[in-house]
Amino acid sequence: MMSVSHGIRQKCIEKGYEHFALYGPENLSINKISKEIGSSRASFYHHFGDIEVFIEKLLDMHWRMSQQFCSFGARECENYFPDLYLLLEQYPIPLKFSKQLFLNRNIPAFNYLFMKTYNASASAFILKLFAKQFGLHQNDEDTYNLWLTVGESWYSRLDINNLSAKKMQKLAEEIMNSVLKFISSGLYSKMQK
Amino acid sequence: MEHLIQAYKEFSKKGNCGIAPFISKIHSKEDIIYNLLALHIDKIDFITSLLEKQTNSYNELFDFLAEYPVELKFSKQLFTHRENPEMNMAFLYGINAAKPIIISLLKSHFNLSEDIANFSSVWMTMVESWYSRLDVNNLTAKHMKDISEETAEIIIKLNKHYDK
Repeated sequence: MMSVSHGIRQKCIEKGYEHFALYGPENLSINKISKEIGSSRASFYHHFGDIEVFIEKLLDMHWRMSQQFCSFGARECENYFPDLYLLLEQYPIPLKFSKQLFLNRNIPAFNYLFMKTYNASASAFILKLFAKQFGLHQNDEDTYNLWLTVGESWYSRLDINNLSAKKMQKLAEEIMNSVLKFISSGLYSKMQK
Repeated sequence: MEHLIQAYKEFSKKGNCGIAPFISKIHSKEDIIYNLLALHIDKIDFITSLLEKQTNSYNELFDFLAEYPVELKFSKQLFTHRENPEMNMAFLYGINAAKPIIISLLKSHFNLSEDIANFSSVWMTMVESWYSRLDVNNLTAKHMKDISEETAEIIIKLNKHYDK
């Protein structure tokens, strides 16, 4: 059975994860998190020591969520459209967390985790679906670069207040249209030489 | 549009590219951007071939880079405008072209294992963290080396943490 102390620690991490996702790392408040879980500031310091250690735990939790997302996606998604976006719709808080990592990529730990989760999902199932959806016949590295390009654009334009599958898919389609136009340009051919 | 043409003039000096063929192709701002990106690709090819010949150590890498301030500023602009697919692809082209050479220098300097050095998350994070910290008003070899060491050490530590 989980001890009371362990329960508070876990609740704190879960609430902190949500706060990080919703308000960003710069607005993490120990007071607010403690209050929302019915605990105290002293208890927070007892469990984590300082905010840096706490953030590390949030990043670890995101990595676990991402692994869960990858195994679920690999099992359930058969097509890029609409399956991937229907799946993403089921993960609003991790998606908002990813967007916060993306927005704060000047911090190496955030950047590293963003790239690590992005790569993990690409190799678990997304890259294969992406190539199939758009009939891409590039080698793996070039397909990955295209996927990275779509991701850069997608995350920078993602509206975290509207994470409906329909809206996210529409955004991906718009971006992909310009990527496909670019693929047919002389500049892209020049890059493939 | 004038400032873009001026930018191209500045940018093309080192590559010995004339302005005339460029002017004849201009129809819109998109054309200018397209031509600037094409020129950047040529310059990347040229610089990468020199990089391979002229650098044998991690320290020499930054002395070499300090010789190309305009190209670095251009790359930083691509980096900050990566939401634009064309600019992102041009940015990726540059970092991928230099990747084998720079990874080999990083490997020997930081004693990286083959696994870590070739891991794409490590490479991309190093590059992105480096560019995000790059101060375009201080493109000295020292500044570039300092931010490289800072980011490399953090990222190597992170890689160990997540791969436990």
